[in-house]
Amino acid sequence: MTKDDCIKKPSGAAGGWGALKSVGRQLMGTGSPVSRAKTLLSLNQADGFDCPGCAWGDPEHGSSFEFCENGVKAVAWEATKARVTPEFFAEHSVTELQGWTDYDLEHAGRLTTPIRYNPETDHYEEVSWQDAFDGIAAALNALENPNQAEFYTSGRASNEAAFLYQLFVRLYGTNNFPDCSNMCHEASGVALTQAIGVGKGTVLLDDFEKCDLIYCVGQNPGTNHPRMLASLREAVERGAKVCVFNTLKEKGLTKFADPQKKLEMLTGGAEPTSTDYYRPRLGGDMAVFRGMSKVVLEAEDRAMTEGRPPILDHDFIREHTSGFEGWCDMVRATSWEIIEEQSGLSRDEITRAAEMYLKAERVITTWAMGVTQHLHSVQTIREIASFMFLKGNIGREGAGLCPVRGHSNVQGDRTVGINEKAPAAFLDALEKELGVTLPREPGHNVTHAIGAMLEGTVKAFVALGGNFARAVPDSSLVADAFRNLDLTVNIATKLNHGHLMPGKASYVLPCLGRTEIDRNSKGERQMITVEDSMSMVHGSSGINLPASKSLKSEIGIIAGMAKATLGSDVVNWDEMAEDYDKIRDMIARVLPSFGDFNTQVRKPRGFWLRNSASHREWKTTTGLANFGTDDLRDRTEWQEVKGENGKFVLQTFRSHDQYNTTIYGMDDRYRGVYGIRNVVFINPKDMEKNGLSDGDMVDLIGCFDDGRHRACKGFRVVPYDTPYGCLAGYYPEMNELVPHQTVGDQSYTPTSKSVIVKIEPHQSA
Amino acid sequence: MSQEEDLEAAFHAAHSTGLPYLSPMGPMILAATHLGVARDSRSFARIFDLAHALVIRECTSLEQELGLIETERKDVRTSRVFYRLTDAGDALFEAKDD
Repeated sequence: MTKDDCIKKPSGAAGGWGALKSVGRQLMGTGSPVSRAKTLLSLNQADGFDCPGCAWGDPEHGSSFEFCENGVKAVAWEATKARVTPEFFAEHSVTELQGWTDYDLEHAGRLTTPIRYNPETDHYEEVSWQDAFDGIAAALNALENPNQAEFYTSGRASNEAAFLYQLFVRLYGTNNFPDCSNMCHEASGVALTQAIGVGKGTVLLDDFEKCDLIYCVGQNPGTNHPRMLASLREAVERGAKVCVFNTLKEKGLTKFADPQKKLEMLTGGAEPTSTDYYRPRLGGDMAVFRGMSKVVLEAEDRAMTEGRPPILDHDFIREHTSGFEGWCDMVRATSWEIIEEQSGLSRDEITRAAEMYLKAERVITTWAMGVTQHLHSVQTIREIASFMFLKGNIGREGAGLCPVRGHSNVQGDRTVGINEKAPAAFLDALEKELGVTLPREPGHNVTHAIGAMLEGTVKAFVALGGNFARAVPDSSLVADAFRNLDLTVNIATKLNHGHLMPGKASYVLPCLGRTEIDRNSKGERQMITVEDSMSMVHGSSGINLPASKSLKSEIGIIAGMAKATLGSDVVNWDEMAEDYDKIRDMIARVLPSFGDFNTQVRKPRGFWLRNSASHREWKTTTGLANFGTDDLRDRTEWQEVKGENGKFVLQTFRSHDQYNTTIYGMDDRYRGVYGIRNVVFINPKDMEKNGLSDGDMVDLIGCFDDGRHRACKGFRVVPYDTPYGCLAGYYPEMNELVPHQTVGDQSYTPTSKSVIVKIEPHQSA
Repeated sequence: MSQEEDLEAAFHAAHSTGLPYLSPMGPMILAATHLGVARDSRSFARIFDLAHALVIRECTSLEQELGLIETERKDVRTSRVFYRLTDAGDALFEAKDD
């Protein structure tokens, strides 16, 4: 912040800033009518845009994005002046662009016109929207079977776009919906559905103001959802405990300077965001929670023996849960030896972490990819839920479970039907609404889609945003499969490597960004909606002029493809694209929880989608909240490689200048890395043991035994405070090391946080 | 005139033109810029206790749709926009000042 910021206090101000403010606000609030004017009150409400970054809840919707560094990056990224025009593609062949980095492709700028690949020239060329829609329709309708097509969805897609997309795809005839949720929080959805009957978190943002303990597990909010830091910091400030379990010591989880506190920004001050910080091994979180449960049960035993009041919430357990006794037997039978070995924490450390739980009245547990991208992620989340059941920490104020989602609408997309095995009730309602029969056979998730592509049974791939080919495991293997497809379609704002693997017919269709003004044919502004991690549904409308006059909204593009492919007998696609209120009306008819959607979403802060578990209603197989049934694994990946010289467990993660596969910049300043991404973080003791020095160049070799050689070559060694035997590095670069066959049990989530690799000296050839 | 009266006069000068402002905040941004009360989005938001995001939106419209202000520089971290009146923007106040 500079001093010369144009706040020039005028001389002779009678009433100072207070009086000026008063006059100004009165004028703005009561001035005579102007064209398209809104009242000041409405300006402060739901008419801003939802940050296209993370899915953390927003206390004052539409006003906080500017305080979040990553939100600003996301907005600036869309608002770039750089443009990728047809001339750009005339100058650069696809083969040439394949040699560019992810960063350079993104920074070429915004896509401006629809383009089609010309295999004879190896260049993309401009195509009219109608020709693009007709070409796509012809290719889709030429397939022998609709299940030969995959329809991917990024978590950026709005509720309206996602709903219209699934209408199109299901009417086309398939449930093949690989989506980005399959690669991140699928394990949360599976585990929570089993445990509490709903695959979402149960807390509201307000609960963070009322809890007295937060366990923050396997997540890095400083980079991935920075607005969460404000909630953590406020909790610490009012005396609550924030206990972190994270393999790495992440800066944002220790201290945070709140940009909304000006004095702090000026003086460089910062306040703690956690009170206790523990560093389990990769894959050790389930053992941590098993150990803490053991401590709680032992404390309960002592209380009973000594005639003190019980620690457990026996009323909750008796009235609301199933499987308590069996789970308790399993916990009691688990030895401290295996808990310490798998978790990497000592019994004393786990006991200290659990003692906070014994004292706390209201507890929230949050988690993210550090928990969900392992083989045993579903079991780990079940263990977390079971631990929380012990004291009834769910379905009451200031307590609950909170999987913190990544992309801004990844939760909403699932709610409105992006689901390869959608609930029967949803499909029933959709059939009733449309008056047609829809496919019921479960479709492909990401893992199944990759398998089908490698088998050659997929012929077409349509992507509503994202960068599928770079985000998935075994990315180069998948890239080869892309080139054998009959059709690829990418709806996008910027160029990425996923667009440079053209099949026989390939289209890139440029769309409006979240921050851009979306008008219909009459010039009326359209609004879309998103659902955050707390199940709050917000309206969002852009503030910037579109990057190009040729852009269409995602909804407009979906409607165009659908109309050309299916005609308008069942759905009037033009009408939907002309007025998004009509899409919302249909959503509300199919999903009654949206109520009077169009009215509700125009209220300040939007509205909350009812969550049965928050009301202690359990839509599970037993009709109760279910304790876990799984024991700890026999051996984690860390245990597998322990003692094998040169072998490690690798986790992939983001840099600070990154959001999913989007690389905003080349720095990772919280971790002290600047201008380079090909790095591997390693414990100094591991370096010494393996004869490595800071700055050495190494090759990482995948150890999965399927006959495929997986390697990331030429990575710089960076000594880092990571547990012994545990490495870390950035994706998407290291996705090459993640085998597509190793996925989470029941969730099919790639195991990107527990990849077994070995390190070898760099071979330049 | 007091500063409050100056602000009110300038606001009405910009407001009465019938330009299709996005909201009444538009003429107030122009008035505040003209009088030197605030020439960047964050200061304006702070003085009038408005959400910065909404001020940025209004500035975008004033610049890109109406051509009344132009950006001098932008703070990448905060999205704070520093701007000045264009000739067209200045013209709104010329008659009043004369």
